[in-house]
Amino acid sequence: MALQEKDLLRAYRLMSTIRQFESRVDTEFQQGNIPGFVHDYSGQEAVATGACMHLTKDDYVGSTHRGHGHCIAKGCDIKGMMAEIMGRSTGLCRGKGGSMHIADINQGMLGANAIVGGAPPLAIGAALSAKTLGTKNVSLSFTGDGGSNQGTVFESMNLAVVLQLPTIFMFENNGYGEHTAAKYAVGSGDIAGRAAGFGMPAKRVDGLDFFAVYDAVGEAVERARSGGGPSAIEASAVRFGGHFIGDPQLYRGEGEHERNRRDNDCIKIFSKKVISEKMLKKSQLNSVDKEIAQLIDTAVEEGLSAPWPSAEELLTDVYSNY
Amino acid sequence: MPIKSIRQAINETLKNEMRRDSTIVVIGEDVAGGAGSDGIDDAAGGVFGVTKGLVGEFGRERVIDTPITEAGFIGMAAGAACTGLRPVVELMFVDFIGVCFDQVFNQTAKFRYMFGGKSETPLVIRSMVGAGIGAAAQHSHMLHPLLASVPGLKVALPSNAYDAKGLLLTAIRDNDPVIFLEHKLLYDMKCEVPDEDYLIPFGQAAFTREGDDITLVSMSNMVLNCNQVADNLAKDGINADVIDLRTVSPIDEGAVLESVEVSGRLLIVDEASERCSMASEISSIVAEKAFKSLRAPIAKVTAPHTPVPFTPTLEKLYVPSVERIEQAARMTLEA
Amino acid sequence: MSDSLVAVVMPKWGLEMVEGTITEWLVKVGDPISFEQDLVDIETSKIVNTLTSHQSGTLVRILAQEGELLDVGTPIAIIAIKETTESEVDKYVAEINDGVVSLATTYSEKPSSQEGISDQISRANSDSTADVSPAEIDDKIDFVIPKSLQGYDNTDATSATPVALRVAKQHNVAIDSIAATGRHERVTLDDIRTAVIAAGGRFKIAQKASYKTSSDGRAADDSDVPATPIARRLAKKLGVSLNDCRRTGRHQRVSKADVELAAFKLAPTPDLSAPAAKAPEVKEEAPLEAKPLSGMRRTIAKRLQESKLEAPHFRACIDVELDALLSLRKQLNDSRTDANISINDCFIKATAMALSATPKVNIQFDGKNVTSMPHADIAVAVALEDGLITPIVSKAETKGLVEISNEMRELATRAKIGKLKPAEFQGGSFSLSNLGMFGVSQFDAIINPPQAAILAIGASERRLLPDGDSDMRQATILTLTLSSDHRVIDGAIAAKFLQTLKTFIDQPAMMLG
Repeated sequence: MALQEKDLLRAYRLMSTIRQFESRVDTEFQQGNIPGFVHDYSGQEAVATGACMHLTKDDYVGSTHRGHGHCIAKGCDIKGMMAEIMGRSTGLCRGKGGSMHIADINQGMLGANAIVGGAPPLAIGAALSAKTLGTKNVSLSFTGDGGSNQGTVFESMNLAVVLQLPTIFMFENNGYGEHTAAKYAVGSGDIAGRAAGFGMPAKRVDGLDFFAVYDAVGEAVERARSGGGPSAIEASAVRFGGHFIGDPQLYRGEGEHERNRRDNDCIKIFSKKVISEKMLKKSQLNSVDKEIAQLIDTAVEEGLSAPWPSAEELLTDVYSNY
Repeated sequence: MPIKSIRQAINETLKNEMRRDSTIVVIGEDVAGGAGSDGIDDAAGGVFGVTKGLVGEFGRERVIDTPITEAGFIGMAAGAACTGLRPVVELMFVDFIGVCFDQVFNQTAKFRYMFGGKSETPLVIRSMVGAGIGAAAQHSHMLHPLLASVPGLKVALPSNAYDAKGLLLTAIRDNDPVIFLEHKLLYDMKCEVPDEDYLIPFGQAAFTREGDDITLVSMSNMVLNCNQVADNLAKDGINADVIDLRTVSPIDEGAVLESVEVSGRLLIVDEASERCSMASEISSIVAEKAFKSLRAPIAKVTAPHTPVPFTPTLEKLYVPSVERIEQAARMTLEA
Repeated sequence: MSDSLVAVVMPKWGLEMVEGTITEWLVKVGDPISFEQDLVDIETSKIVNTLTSHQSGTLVRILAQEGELLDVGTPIAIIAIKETTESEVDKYVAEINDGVVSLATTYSEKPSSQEGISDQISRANSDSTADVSPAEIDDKIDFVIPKSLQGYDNTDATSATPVALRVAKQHNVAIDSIAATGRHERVTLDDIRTAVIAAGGRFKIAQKASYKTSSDGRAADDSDVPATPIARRLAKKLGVSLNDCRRTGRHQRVSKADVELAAFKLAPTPDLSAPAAKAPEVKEEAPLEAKPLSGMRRTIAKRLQESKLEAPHFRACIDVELDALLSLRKQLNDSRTDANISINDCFIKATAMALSATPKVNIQFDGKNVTSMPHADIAVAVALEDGLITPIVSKAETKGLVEISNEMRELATRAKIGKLKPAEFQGGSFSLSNLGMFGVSQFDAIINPPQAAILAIGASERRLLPDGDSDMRQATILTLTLSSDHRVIDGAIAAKFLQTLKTFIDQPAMMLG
């Protein structure tokens, strides 16, 4: 499972894309170009990337309300995503889903999900499809520390074990469920331990370390594909921003924000490692950054000039026929 | 033509469809029964035996007994429906929708719209409705109005075995989520049901009695009561249209409006409680769109605004009786 | 054109008649018919009259059934002058229907195609080749299906909605030729309606006003029905079962209002011709049935509505003293055996005299032209069972009181049996309406066009009046109210007319002069 140069470049590209995408969404949101509200994934790039790097287009991912990173890592189109977040007709969901419901079933993206704890039942459903149809595909659900307390998540873990479904429960513990600390809300403080209690292999990894995430998920996916049933991984991570863009974050401790940006930036950690260990050159990373910046500029430009959905769109897509 | 009960009709339809299409799976609590036990497989076949025998033919891979975990397995079925399977899930009693409603109305029903029309969710949720066997408040509720109010869902309620087969076939082959509600008093009701496949389109009401004098609209078990009332009125030379809506989402508005145009008199019978029921919905539709045709105030006979009582004497009062319906019909006729 | 067959048509009696209803055939098919023989009784808006034959021959076909309302000029029967065969008659009828034979040569107003539907229907009764289906006008559904859409083909039951299918079957509509717009590509009731109307037919659904359902169970014990004590007592008193009442009271009880409503719904339709003393039988519910207006009522309704809308009415009242008139009347009645003069007769005479003295009131006005009438032709309202009619005492100013009285009595008698001739009730220069005998003290009447004024006569009463400066005297006083069409009669003229009229009544000797 040794990572080749092209894999590392791909990992960096995905992480850089997520970071720049979210940073630009933040800017556009504050300029009034994005309706509704938006949850920023910045800081957790290593988790989405480390997990999704193992998945093919035919594997399924179920996401959370903080789903942009998962979508990008799973291969959703950047321009389509930006247009969707802006509510335009060229969006991935024709402007009807928005930030919290970006989906692209054709890319195996079962959707961001605005119901906390929403993804696991759907993801095990996709795993049931894979198992019943004998496709060897797997599914992976992202759940936050907040979502980890939901009954649907427990039910899904139990069902996955009972039915031996090829699925991975990926818990991203970023320390906060909305404005409440995980160390308060997660009773045992041990999400992986809970998962193990349902009878599946479960691991806790450092979510700031791309390589740790990558290795753990690799093992779980391999197990699922080979008929070994579900696994769970709890990755500790850091949420750079607030619950949503504009959150005053009064719950943060003194210096927490600065410390996170300085010491707990998974992309900095990744870059430092690949450069110091001579796996990639700094210039390679710079040129990726530049390329992505351009892509995102174009995405914003095209998004802002794309038409709003027509009035008829209000009534379409409720049913396939009615 | 062979005579079959609703139970047989549903069982046969599931069997035929599963043979035809290997992506169809049946999921639910005790749909086979006996899983992991030392006793026999297929120990239950659903609490009313509707899915009996399926596991023997299709195996536990396609007839999946679940733990008692409605949110989990309905959500799982929704996810499976988006990704290549056509699950037919059994929610044992519709009252249990409470613990899994999020999976139904927030997930299943909204996928297609949220995803800009780029997904299909061919999911059937079969469930049991209705009072009449002393199952009490948490196992007897008629919740079709609640479900019919959710955009993205279709809701069917057969009143007889012929319709049960045709509607279920349509539900299974439909690419949208369908809630298929079986009244627990009707499972043994029999009628002629062809062996071959036939589809009953959704949103097409059936006229179980025809007449120009008054329009009775109902669904599910209440259709039987309305038929009896129509037969009683016919003895006095009064002929009623009895409209069995068959699906309450979509609703065959046209059938009701046309019938009312001819009769000028409307009585709606619904086993659901009166507030925000199908009765109030139909009443609203007719008042909006056929007001000029009405020769008498619209009448409704529904269950009262109470939970379903347990004791047989009260339960009998709760369910709209033939007598209450007939009295309301006569008052409407004389108005 | 046949030289051996002659059509009998709905006659036009007087300029105002546009339609008539066949009341009763006095002859039957096959009867020999002589010149001026009575053929059929026809009710017009004003009277029932008998149509006599203008031909002698044999009645070979009756085209209009009793009860049918037909436009003037519509063929109602065929008389054979010479011997003919059935097929010749058929051919002739077909020619009439196709318009090959023109019948209505003497009528300037031909019925428009829209108004002609009823006679199309009547023709269709005897002629299956007509472009409309057999008449299907019952009180429930009023349909005329154009030929192009006729022919219910035992069609695929899934091609139309159940109600559309049923209606099509009932009325022989070819469903397959109608474009479907309904759900699942089915023909709807609306689709049929659109197609039928587009093809010139008629498609009107009317429901029954009410039903009498079996009373089984209604009389059943109502002691279990929740009701307020007052409602229960009232129900018992009115003979209403609480089972028949809505329950709108608190706690879903029958309230007093619910009982009253039920009693109202269950009460029989009041029969105006029956003695008022007859106690209402609550249980014997007569269904409320909406009946179309009779020809007479339609005419009254139409004319008075027009008058009220078009003529700006103004009213002027005057009190008259009757004592002298009463005494004169008594003298005349006592002295002449042929005299039975009523107060009303006196008013006819007095009005005629006043009109002669005030010719500006003695006019007809058609909305454009004013015609001064040469004589005082006084129309007097006579109440009938279903309406009223105004026979005319013509040239009343030239006639004596006894003559007026006798003529009026005879006119009223014939009016009540529907035997007035059109000339006897059409036209007139002024109307009188008297409700005094009912004790009505005074009222406003609506002008009967083309007249321009009408006098409403109230009841007389004894009053004390000042007599000189200090005395009082008793007098019999009655209030007259003149309604005038202000377009042609001004206030001063109306006042002058009333003043003159008052003079003739207060001092009746003057009208004898």
